[in-house]
Amino acid sequence: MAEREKAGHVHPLTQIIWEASKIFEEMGFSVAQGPELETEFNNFNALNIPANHPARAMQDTFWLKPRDENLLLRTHMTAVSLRELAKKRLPLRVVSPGRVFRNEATDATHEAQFYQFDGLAIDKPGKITLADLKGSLERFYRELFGQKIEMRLRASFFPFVEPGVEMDIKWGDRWLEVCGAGMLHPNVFKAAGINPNDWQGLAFGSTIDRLAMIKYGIEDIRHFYTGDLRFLEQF
Amino acid sequence: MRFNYKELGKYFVEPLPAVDDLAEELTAHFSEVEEIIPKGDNDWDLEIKILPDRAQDAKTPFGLAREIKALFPKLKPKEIWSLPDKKTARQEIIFTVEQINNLLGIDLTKEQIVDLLNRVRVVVETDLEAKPLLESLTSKSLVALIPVDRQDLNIKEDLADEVARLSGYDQIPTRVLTSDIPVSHNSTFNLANQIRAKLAGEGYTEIYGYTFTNQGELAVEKPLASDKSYLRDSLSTGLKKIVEFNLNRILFDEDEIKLFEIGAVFLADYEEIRIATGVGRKKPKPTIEVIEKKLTDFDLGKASDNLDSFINQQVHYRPVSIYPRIIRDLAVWVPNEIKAETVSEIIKNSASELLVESPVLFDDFSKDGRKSLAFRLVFQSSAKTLSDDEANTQITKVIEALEKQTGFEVRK
Repeated sequence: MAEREKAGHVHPLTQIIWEASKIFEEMGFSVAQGPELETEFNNFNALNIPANHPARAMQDTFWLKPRDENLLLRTHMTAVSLRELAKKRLPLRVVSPGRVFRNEATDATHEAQFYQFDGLAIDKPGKITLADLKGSLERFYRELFGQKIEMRLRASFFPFVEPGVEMDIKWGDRWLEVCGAGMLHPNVFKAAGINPNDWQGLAFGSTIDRLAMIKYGIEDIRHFYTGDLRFLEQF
Repeated sequence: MRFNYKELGKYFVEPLPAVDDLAEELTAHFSEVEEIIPKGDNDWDLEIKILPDRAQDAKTPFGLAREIKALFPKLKPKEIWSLPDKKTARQEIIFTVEQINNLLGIDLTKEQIVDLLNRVRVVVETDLEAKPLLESLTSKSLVALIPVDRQDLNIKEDLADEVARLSGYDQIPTRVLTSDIPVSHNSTFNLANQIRAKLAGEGYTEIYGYTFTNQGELAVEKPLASDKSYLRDSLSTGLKKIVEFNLNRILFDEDEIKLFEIGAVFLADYEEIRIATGVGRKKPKPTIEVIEKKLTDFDLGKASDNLDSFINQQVHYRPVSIYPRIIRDLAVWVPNEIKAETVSEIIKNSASELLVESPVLFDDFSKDGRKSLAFRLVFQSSAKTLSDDEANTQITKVIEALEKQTGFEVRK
């Protein structure tokens, strides 16, 4: 029997996170991390998401028992962006990759746990604008998917940004949503104890799982979490 | 929300733009048109995902007609829609041209901004009691009078949003942030990557397990399933099951399964990042060894945190089949100078896509100027359970292709 040494592989989502971090590092972003267990304040209130917002509905959020402690599993990486903002070390450029949770039925395109990549860049008024957001996101998706990829921004709404946009990339003949973004809302600055008249910046949150699914043509999001080597060794 | 094309048309003197053009403009500047449903007789229904901030004013045909007028300014409505004045305005927003341009990274004139805001019936007046808003601002402050139906317009950033979307995001210039701040990554991120590089270099493959499990110290409200009501308090339990799962699918009994996971675990009053490694063997006797540590307790030695050599740029993804596989071994005599990879290529090219894992070389030796190479072949369909006959047909094709080569002889 010949010795057959098998090569090790890092997870495909680790690979996307690594590539994404490198691209943003070139644009001056440091990588931040934070806890998966979050407070209601960091995940919602501070991000201008009032108690009656649809995202607050019980079916979307995993609240911990006992419910009256108001602890939850973070629903977006923007919670880590907020933690970084609240450190008040400005100007600031951070990206935060990590695991997030949504309480929804799972199928080929939905998982209760998945990965997001959030970004925040803050500077003096007029320094970091919607034009920088557009250019930086375009550069990111071009480096990840190839220079010829078509992209578009369109009108959107997220409570923690204003103006708010969504970025789509064209894959085959379809437009796919990959990123929610915008200019950080003044209320978020206030929640972090920062005067919004003095600072301005961009924020975005991109899916990681879906980027990997698009890039490699993976048909089922659940493959990422089963640990099947026949899947993992393809990457 | 579903809207009817003909009904929307009733608000205007001239016919609406073609339905595809209308849908395209609405998606780009307002809210996504998810579906255009033909109704016959030059009529359509439009399924529009109205953004939450516009739920108050744009969820009626009249409200959407007003929005269509904003996107197609030349379209004449049948009725004159009233504009707010100082008395009827719901809200006044004080802003400057400079503030709008500063947010958008654009260089619009006052006239351009006023014109865009007028399209959504926001009237702009020069602030007669102009007090400087901020010392840093040089342009004169303006007052935007907001119509009563636009509950979503309250601060200057809301006005910037209207200006951006109405002028079109393709009109926003493109600027890439340059690096003028030294980067300094989170230490957990760096350490995790160092451990990944070291373990992957030693033949371990990284898995991502599930956070939800059937036991632990913290539980969630309304779990997705009764066996997913707790947050994991260790990585080992899940990792051990995954080692076992893979051990049941190895190609050779001598194969080892080597896995690792880096992830958060949850204890009664804290959360911790851990690293767990798992090694499974069938021989000499079945064993699974799992070691779990705090990430910071991992014995790293000298290790790079650069993962570049583990990034696969040549992925040709194939879904894993749920149907059973058929395994066949094949040994072939070849001239000494023939490389195993060459033989492997011939096998791959002669078999159909039912050959799912590359032929795996598991034995080779030389004798009497010839070399014997033994391969294990795996056949599997993505659509059904393969029959022995179907696997035999594949093997026959492979044997024929091999024996066409000079000096090749398949061992029987």
